[in-house]
Amino acid sequence: MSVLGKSKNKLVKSKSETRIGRSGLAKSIDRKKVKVGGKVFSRLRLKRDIMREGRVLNRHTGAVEMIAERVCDEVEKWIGDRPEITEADLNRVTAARIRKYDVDLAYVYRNRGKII
Amino acid sequence: MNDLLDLFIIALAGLVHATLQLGISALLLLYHASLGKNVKRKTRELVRDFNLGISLFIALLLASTCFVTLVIFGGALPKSALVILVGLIAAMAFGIWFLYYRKSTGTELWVPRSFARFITERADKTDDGVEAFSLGMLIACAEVPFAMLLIITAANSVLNLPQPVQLLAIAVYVLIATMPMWLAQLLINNGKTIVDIQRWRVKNKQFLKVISGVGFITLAIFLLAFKVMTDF
Repeated sequence: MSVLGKSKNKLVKSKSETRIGRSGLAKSIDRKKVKVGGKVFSRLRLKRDIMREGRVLNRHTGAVEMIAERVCDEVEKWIGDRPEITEADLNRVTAARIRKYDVDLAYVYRNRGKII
Repeated sequence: MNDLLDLFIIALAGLVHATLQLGISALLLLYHASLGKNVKRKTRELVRDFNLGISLFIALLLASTCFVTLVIFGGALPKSALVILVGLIAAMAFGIWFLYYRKSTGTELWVPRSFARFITERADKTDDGVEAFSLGMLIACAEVPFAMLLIITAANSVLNLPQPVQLLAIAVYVLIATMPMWLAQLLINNGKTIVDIQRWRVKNKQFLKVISGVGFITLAIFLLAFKVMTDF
């Protein structure tokens, strides 16, 4: 499984393993990158984040799940063979992809952490 | 007539307090965090407790400022202190115009980024009423650097009122100062989403900034005219 591990402020593509975290959700762990305290790209986490924003807007779960799947596909396609990407790039691209399906959802996703 | 004047000053100070944005920002954060994981009813309860926390903190701060003023000055502020207060309030208007909002496209405020992250994390972890209440108190406390002058102004006017009206005056101030939060809760309960409110805030950011600064200036002029210059 291909994931992106974060190195300082960069997300770096590398190989990793998948395991079940304490939250019960599958977490992608890159042992090498965890040492520098970075977080790792995970399709599951991205999908979970999109679905959570969908709940905030009271969207139908099934519809949001479908959007999330499509967006995850498109984001993974965008990542392609890039050796590294920044978290800001990932958020921007994800929001742009969501925007095709739901403008409000894209807005709330893009503005996470920019309210205060 | 004097009592009416003091009540008007309290209302005006409360109105200017209401234009400060930290409370409403934190409320939207709490809504955002809670709606993502809780049912609507639970979210409503959390937001109500958050608003009560803010309200209680402002009420306690105003009451204790009244007490401290009474102990130090034996009553309302003397003219010299009022002159300083007027100057500081006028200066605070510039603080609002140039410091309160960060230069970004969103509604990021003056609070240090580490503290903003802390609030975001706390909003995310808030799961029961006590936590929401405490978060409300924390937010009201964090707003103190900009709100303290307004509280002092209101406290001064509260002390000029007859004793039976003082508690009512404090309640009026708190109600007006927390009005945006209650209004936001009402709007969201009636079908608006946080996106609608946040979009409105972003769109009207400059307007809110101007209104807030002008409010400070108006209060300063009002105090100068009716409290400082009355005996000259």
